[in-house]
Amino acid sequence: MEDAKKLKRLVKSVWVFNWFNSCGFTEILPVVGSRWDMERFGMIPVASPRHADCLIIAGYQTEKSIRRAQRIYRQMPKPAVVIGLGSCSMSGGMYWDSYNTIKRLSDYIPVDLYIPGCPPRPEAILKGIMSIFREVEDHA
Amino acid sequence: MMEHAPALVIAFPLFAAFASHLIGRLGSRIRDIWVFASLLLTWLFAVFLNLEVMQRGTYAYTLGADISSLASPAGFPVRIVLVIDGMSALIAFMAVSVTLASFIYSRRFMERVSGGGESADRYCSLVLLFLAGMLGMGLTGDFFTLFVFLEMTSISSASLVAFFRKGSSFEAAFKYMIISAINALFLLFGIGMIYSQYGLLNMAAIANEMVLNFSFLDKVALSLIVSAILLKLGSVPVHMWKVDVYQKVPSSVAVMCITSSLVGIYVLSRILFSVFFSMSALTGWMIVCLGSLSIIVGVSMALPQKDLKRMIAYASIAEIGYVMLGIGTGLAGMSSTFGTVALSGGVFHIINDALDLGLMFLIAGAVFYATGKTGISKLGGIAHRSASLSVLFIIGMLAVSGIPPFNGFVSKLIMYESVFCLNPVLSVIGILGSILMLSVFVKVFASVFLGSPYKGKFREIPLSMTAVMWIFALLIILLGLFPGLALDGLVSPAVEALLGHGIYMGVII
Amino acid sequence: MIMKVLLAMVVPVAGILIGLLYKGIDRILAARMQGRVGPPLVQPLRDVRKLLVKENIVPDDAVGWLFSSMPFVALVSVMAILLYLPLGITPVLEGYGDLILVLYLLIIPSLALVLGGFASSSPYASVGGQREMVKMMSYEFPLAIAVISVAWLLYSSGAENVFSLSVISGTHVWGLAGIPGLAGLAVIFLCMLFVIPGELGRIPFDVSEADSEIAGGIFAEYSGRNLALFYLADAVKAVAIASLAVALFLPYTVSGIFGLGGAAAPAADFLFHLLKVFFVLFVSSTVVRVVTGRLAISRVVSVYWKYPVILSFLGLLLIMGGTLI
Repeated sequence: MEDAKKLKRLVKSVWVFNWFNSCGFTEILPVVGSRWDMERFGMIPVASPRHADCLIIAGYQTEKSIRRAQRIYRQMPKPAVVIGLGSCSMSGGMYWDSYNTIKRLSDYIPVDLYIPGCPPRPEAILKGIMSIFREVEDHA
Repeated sequence: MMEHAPALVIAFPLFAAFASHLIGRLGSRIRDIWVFASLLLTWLFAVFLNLEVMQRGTYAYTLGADISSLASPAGFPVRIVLVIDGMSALIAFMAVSVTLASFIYSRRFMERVSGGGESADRYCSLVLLFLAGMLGMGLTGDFFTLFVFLEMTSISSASLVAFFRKGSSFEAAFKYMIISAINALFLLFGIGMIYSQYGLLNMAAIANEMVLNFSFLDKVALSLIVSAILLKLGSVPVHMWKVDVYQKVPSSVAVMCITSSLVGIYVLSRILFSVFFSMSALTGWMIVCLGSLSIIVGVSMALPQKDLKRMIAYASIAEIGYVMLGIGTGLAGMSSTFGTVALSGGVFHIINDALDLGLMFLIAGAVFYATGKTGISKLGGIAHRSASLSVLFIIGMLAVSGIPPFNGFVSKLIMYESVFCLNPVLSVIGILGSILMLSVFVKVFASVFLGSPYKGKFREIPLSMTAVMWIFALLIILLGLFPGLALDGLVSPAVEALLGHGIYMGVII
Repeated sequence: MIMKVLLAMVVPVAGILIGLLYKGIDRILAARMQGRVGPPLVQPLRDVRKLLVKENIVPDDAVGWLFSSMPFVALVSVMAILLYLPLGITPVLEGYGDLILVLYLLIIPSLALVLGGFASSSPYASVGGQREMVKMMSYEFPLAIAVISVAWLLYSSGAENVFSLSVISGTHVWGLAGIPGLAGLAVIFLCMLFVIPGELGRIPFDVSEADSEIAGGIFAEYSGRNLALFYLADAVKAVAIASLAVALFLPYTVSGIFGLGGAAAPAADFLFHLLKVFFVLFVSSTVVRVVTGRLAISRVVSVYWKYPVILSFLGLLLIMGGTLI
């Protein structure tokens, strides 16, 4: 099956694996919760990378933790989507001149979407995810 | 010659046992061929016995008489009389078939495990003696020959326990010898009481006399004899010897030990159905209670075991409990339909027990052959090295626990639905026992076979051993999918024979 | 004969679709109870279609043949159970199997989960497998007592062939043993409803697939097509166990009330059966999973072996008392 068709099936039911060792996750919790319910789009959080379609890397990553994040990405069955959440993944954010955080996520893992913010509000997260859906629909 | 088959089927292994030691001097190849040929011949005799019984019904064979079926020329039985009916022919056939399969398995196994020469000669003689003892217990018609053959079985199996001359084997053999010696004394005392009352030793003749004058002394004798036979079975409360014996005995002989417990069940049912049938309500309930206890104790003590063979030994205690449930219900409900159905379930479970637990012991032996260990914590990941062993273990494990579509399920199903009529709590115990047994075996399977690949030395398992194991597995699958084959051909004649005590008596008098 | 073969092909597939439908209804209702909107009704079907396009990864250290065959075994065995159960219509394989067979066949999917978990060679999956095995041991006790009690009730009221499912679903058990029998049967029905979330692995008994504790437990290493098969097996198992509970305790049919005949009667009975199954699943699975939290594995054993066992023995005694009066 070609990739576009696969992605079209994928976006109807996205299972999310949250990789968080920093503060970015605090705004994903409400997205899972009742108010900005993400299950109505078919997205549920899963605990094992083997079940996941979408890897959300929220917040800053240190040299140590990015190696583990790469391992998690390799364990995910393809096709998979990676979302970098927050300014720290785009440009280093608040820790732009720290000696041990990484400055740009796409140097380490192929990223499909960046969502800016520190941390981004749930509405911004949902808008970002909607843009992925729309992109897939346009390409199909 | 074929009309003397009942005597020959016992005498020939006896002769072969002693001859094999002499022939072993000529060379191990010739001895192996001699033992295999004699086992094959005995097997043919047993098949002939089965066919005869299907044709003629129950019949008697007097040793040394002019007309072999005339057991009582002067109104009371003289000489040793063997009685062949559906049940005894079935047990004899099972004993010989299992020994034949175990011998084919043991040829390469013993070569590796103990080295050839002297010890292999000893092994062959002891196995043939063991077989002769089992066949004698299965076919005999009087109490004293029962005692003699029981002693023969105990002594040969005790020697086989001490086969690997190590400290722990000697300890197990010593324990077993003391317990079985005391046991034999109990049996002798009970037989002595009966003899002093009636002056007869023949079972059918005693049954005939007992119909008229059954006294309190007979009840005492019954309790002594039943206690003695219960130890041979290995049921609670006399199950303690079983675990040590099954662990220390070579694995191919463990299969035969299971069959000897099943022969013990046959002897128990023979005594309770054909001789003491007037007490059947009481003895039936007693056997049922002891059977349920055996299931519970066997399964719960199998859980914490750390050695593969000990765990299978405890599982065998539980399986004997299931057979006792079936037979006890058959006794307690002797006049009703559910009794007959339960009895056929129990007898079918005897066949399935020999196959299922036999397969498990053969697999344990194969694992020992390949790795040299039986401790569960030291093994792990065997499935990566030998996929067929794991498949065989799964088949055996599902069959022992009674999961469809294997044969254990069929016999347990028959038993649940009939024992239920006696008391529903017994069915609940049965179902729960089988689930707990499944969990024990799954835990062992995961520890021994799954996990990261086994890193030690793994010797390749020879073809003869694998072939015998696969034959057992195929029989398990066949009997599970087409149980009618065994139920109609083997089990119904046996059930009829057990329930027809009038016919049994009529053959002798 | 042709009808039987056709039904044998249609019923399992229908079971899969109905199972996915119930999963969808369960998610919507749970979401509404939690104040959320919830996914669309066909979401489980979308989940399965998505899983089928994902890569199917088999870990290096896993026992490959066992790892990949267990999902098939789980799905096939649970579809086979459907052929023996009365789904409003008479069972497809009636006469070939009975209550005890269904009870044992229900073990096979859980066993497949356990073996698949152990074959994954992941410590999370081994822990999940052990927990599932312990849970299976625990809930079989009250389940066995419940099933045997209903059969005993039928036996003591003189029925023939008490273990056959068509006989059980044809007899109205609630009135057979007077007031004590009614009370006993109600207690046993409660125990059966208690067993259902344990059997299906729903909260509070989802210890083996615990997300937050053991990273997916049994399913930790499964992905793609294998995971889709396990997902489907779970969906069909819900229909199977609920149909068993309905056949034992709620055997009523509507075609008699409305006087339907011909082809309309089985169709109406089937739809009513779906309604009863929904009721059982709603009460025992959906409501409970929204309201409670996960139990620790040590608590699972004591919870199953203390209260339901005592209650079901009490129920059995009440039934026995009711038949004596």
